[in-house]
Amino acid sequence: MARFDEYIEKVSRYIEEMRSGGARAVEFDHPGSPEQLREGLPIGVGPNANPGIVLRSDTFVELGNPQAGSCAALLWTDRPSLIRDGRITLFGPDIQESADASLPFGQILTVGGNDLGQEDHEKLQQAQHVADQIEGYMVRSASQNLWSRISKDAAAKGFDFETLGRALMDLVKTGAPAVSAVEVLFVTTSKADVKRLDGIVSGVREINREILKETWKARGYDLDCDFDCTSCKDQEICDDIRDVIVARKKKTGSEKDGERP
Amino acid sequence: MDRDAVREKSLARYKQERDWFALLREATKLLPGEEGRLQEKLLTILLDSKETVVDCVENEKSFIAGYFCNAPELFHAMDLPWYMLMETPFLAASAPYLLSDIEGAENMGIGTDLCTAIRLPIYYIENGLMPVPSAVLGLLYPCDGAPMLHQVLEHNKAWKDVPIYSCDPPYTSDERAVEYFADELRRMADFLQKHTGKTLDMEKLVEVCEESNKSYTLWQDYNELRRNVPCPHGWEIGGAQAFAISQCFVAGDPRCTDWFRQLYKCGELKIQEGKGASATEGWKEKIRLFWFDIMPYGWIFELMPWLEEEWGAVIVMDMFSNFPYTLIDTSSEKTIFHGLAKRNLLDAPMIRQARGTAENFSNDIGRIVKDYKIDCVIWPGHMGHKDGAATTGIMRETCRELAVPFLHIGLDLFDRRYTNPEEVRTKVSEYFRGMGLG
Amino acid sequence: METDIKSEAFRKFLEASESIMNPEVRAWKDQGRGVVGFFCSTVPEELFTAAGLLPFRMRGTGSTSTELSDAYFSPINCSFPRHTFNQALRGEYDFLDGLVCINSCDHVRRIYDNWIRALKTPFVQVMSLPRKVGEPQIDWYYDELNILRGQLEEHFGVQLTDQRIAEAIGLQNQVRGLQKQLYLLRKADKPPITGAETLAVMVAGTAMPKQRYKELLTELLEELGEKQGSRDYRARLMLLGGELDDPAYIEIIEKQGGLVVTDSSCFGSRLMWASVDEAEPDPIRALARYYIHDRPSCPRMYGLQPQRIAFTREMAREFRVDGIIGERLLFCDQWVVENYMTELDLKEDEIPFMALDREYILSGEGQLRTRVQAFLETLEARGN
Repeated sequence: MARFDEYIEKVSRYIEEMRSGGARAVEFDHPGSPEQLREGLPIGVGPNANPGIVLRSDTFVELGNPQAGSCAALLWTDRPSLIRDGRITLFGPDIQESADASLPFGQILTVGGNDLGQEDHEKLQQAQHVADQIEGYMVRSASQNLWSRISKDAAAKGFDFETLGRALMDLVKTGAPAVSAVEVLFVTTSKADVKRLDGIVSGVREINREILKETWKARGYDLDCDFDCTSCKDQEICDDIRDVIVARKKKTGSEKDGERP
Repeated sequence: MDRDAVREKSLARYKQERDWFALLREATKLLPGEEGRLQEKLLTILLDSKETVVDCVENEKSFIAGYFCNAPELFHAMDLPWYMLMETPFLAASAPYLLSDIEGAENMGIGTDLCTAIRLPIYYIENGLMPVPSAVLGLLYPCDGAPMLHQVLEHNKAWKDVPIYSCDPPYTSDERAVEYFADELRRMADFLQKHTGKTLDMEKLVEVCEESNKSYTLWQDYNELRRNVPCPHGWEIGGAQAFAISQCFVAGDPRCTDWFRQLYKCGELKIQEGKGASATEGWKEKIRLFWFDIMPYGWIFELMPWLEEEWGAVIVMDMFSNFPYTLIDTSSEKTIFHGLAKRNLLDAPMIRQARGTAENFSNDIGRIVKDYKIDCVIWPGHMGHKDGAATTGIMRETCRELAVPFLHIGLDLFDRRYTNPEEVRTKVSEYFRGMGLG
Repeated sequence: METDIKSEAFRKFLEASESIMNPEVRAWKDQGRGVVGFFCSTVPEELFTAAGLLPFRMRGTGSTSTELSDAYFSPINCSFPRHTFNQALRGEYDFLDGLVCINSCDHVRRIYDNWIRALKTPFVQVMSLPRKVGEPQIDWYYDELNILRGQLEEHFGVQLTDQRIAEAIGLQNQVRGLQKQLYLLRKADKPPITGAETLAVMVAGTAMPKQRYKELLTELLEELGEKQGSRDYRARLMLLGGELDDPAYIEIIEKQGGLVVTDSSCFGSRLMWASVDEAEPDPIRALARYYIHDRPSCPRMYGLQPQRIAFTREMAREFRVDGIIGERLLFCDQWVVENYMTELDLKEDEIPFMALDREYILSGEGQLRTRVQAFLETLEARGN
């Protein structure tokens, strides 16, 4: 599917323009499987890796405060040749050199897989919102922006953009096995640069909306729950949900007091 | 009823409501802890607003009737006292006269399937129980009831000559819609200047918007605290009060910012101490709920404390707490009105879900379930939320995708007789048991 | 329906009103031509006609239950969208090539959200209808209509030139004119057509190709011009309301002796009492102005209650109405409050008024008969 190919191309041009404009670029290359991406990371990645929240007082650096500038998008294609798998590009200051800062933040994930299709779209979009899956990294629950905090503890362990990039690539590849290539762009130079990037990918939001609309057309439905389990014809479905809840509880860790059982 | 008679009667009722809040404020002084002080402060601010309106009526000063989604920053910048036509059901639903008011509305023959929050103001208008202002800012969204309420207002003889302006709500949510609504707000500002004798000073508006930005930043910060396990606060303190103070009374006022600052501090302290919503000895948070509507203000004390104590079920997030604010860019008149339009059309709670297409319901659920580690989504199914009722299938499907239980109750948030609290508790208990929750 | 109208045209109208699919639509489809469904009389049919499509006003006719749509809607939702959507889920609307929804009310607007998730209709759009009727709102709707125009062009591969649209407006105006003629016949002491029969004719006008409908209606008017009506009624009534598309409902009223001689309703006079201004050079602007501002409004449009009551009074006077019945579908917020205000206004005019609640599919006939009889007795007692 080529709906985002035009934007992938535009982002590539943006990167070239940033380089030729003199912006300091740092590149890392980590092609490979989720296991390879996770190997040697200073922090945990996966469900409930970050069980708590990052309080303001515990924040080492803030990324993407709307006043500082924020932009995020995920672009995908069924032509993975358009993407350099494992490439993380950073323009601007890294996390370790930004203690107590509130950085402008642009994040573009470019994802490819020969078998990627519209049915993967929602899963991929949700991958950007990492919830509790990266230790020491909390994405704030504000729907319009990607606005996040990195904790002091995580920073002390060496958390930087290379770490974040690898973690994101791991989560995308784990969450959508059809993905064979992921490339990440981070921009922390200035609000103007982030705004320009946002301008480039603003058309993506409309495409996302259209795809969502089309995807819902393919779904089926359930009937009302009548609360009387013994006579309810949906008991099987309820049982499935219960099994999912139990599985989820097991996945998310111990029964320690105050933590999620 | 002529204007003088309405003036007397409505003033008497308004003072009665003011006195009720004064009584509540006295009660909050007995509440322990900083949270109790927050409640007290909120009620003090509320009472200030009410006294101001009383003063305006008694001394024939300018004041307006408006709404939380009519860009209250503008009224504040114009130093315009105001009250909300739906104030009683939203804020004073615990008042002792509420049930007899509902019966009064029923006896008017309007129809018991019309939202109680709409019927009550109609009853008040038709019976001279609402102070007649210098001008009215009406509301034409998010539901069918809102424009009908304002057509009754225009129809009423005592209100017939009161100038009224209502912003027209586009159904879409794109940039074109925001720009259109921004122009509607500009026309609203012109209207207010024309009919109240007040002036909109842009510098003052910048100041108010920047202050409101601070309040909403703090509100968002506070909401992040509620993601913690356990959630530091339950139903008693949080979104409902935050909404009231920032939307209904002092949008863009330093008192509001100060209140949020203290709210955040309370929450942060509880997290640092590892404390949850309830102070009851041995209590544990067991179920994290997303209550996807307004709180049942008419009978809140009969449900919410029970949920927490009986089931360890905490309302971690609700519709009115989830205010994904837009910070207003104050660099120009254009950006200010754009920001106000976005905020009031797309961000204001209940408006954002009910006004447009159903993605607004499903997206909120998707985000909140994930971020707040929700165990169960409750759609209260308020009898007035017809559009939401027609979206239950979509909400249910969204929850299925997220593997989270979805409970649809069916009740009246203001009238306990519709589905009585005992029935609601039974339904909730059966569902929790059936789902293996708690 | 019992009728003494003999024309073949009327038989076709009746058939169209009593079912969703009808022979005219079938013949149209057999020619390989497209049908676009729409909700609400504020969606301009002229655009579909100009695109060579048949505009089809959505109904739940023939539905007997809502067992499928109940998974999507709730018991506090209006029965009209529930039944209509149920028919769609049962496949009764599989013949549609497109659907245009609009935010007419809280219940109907959610058909769009549920439809795009559950059904595979190829072209489904939702329009944003303003609440107010001023110039900025006409401008907004002008843009909405141009957006729809572009969408129709792109999807159906047609060119919607100004000329084609103007022609479609002309045709629709002719239809409106003929329908108005039909109504004016009912001013007579012995109207040649009943209210139920009139509704069948009006509903058919939203369910068949316009040109064909115009021909048939012309034929019907010729017969009615010669026909003698009956004076056998107890009172002349006006019907106020919204989504009433079932002539059987009016038939029950008329069987009690109350002849419905006029109305203000979604399938009635509001459809055609005014016309689109053909002198306006921009046909899209003409449509925008007509649908927002010029045509008689319903309570969904804000701020026009004085105009609506004036229209009601004028109709009541012109058609020498003895009493007015305000019907509304249960859970309709717009009409329950409108009826409340109407009752107060008509009380001042001393025009008897009765409000009736109903479900979309005819039910509670006994109750309806009793209430209507009681109302007619009141009218007779007043010496009308």
